[in-house]
Amino acid sequence: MSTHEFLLRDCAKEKLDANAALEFVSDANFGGIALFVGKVRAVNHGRDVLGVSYDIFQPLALTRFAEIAAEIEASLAMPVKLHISHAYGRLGIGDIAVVIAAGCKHRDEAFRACRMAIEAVKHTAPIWKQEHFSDGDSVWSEGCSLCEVHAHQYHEKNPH
Amino acid sequence: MKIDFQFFGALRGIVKNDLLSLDISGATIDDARMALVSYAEQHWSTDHISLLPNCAFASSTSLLRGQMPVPEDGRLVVLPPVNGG
Repeated sequence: MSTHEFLLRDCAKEKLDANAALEFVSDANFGGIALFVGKVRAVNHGRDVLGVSYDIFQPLALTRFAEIAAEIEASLAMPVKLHISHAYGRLGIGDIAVVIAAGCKHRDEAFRACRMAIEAVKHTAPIWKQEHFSDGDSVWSEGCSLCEVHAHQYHEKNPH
Repeated sequence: MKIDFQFFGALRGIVKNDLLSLDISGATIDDARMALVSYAEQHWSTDHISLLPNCAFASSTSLLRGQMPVPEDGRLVVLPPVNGG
């Protein structure tokens, strides 16, 4: 049976927990576990970053996470356990912004599931990132449009 | 009909409390988009207006495409291009 865990965390109250994600996807029937941890980095496009703020439209994000899991299950055609958690609010350098963990029978499927999940979260979930730079400037990062034309192009380029 | 638009991401702060009510003629997402663009052209900066062609619209549960009807509760979320992770 496939089960999944989807979490959105206010980083001012609770940090994301990669160890808990690994524990969640662990299963006696799964020999492969893959983990992706996304952290806030200190430099972007040559500019010193002080921190990042994430904004999330939570109801739709959680719905999208469930769709992503269903798409991955359909693509792999085998049981998978998936954990997706994302932080919102203001994070500092080195703070964890996103955790993806995938458990499958074998390593190849675990790696693929983890990669598919993080790419889909980045490109299709209603989450926005604003970077705060050392010169006082704050900029919303350019992203992927969810409009139908662009969504169609994305799915054509990323069929798996 | 009256539509309540809610804004996120790069459109945060564009209106008070990130909420804007507009009367639209028609009942599709395209109609709502046209009404919002028309309002924006009179009240917003060019930078913000330029975001609108790439904004998607959604209810609390799903993305809504051009010819789909607006939600019965009149609430539409405006989604600028996304960039999580």
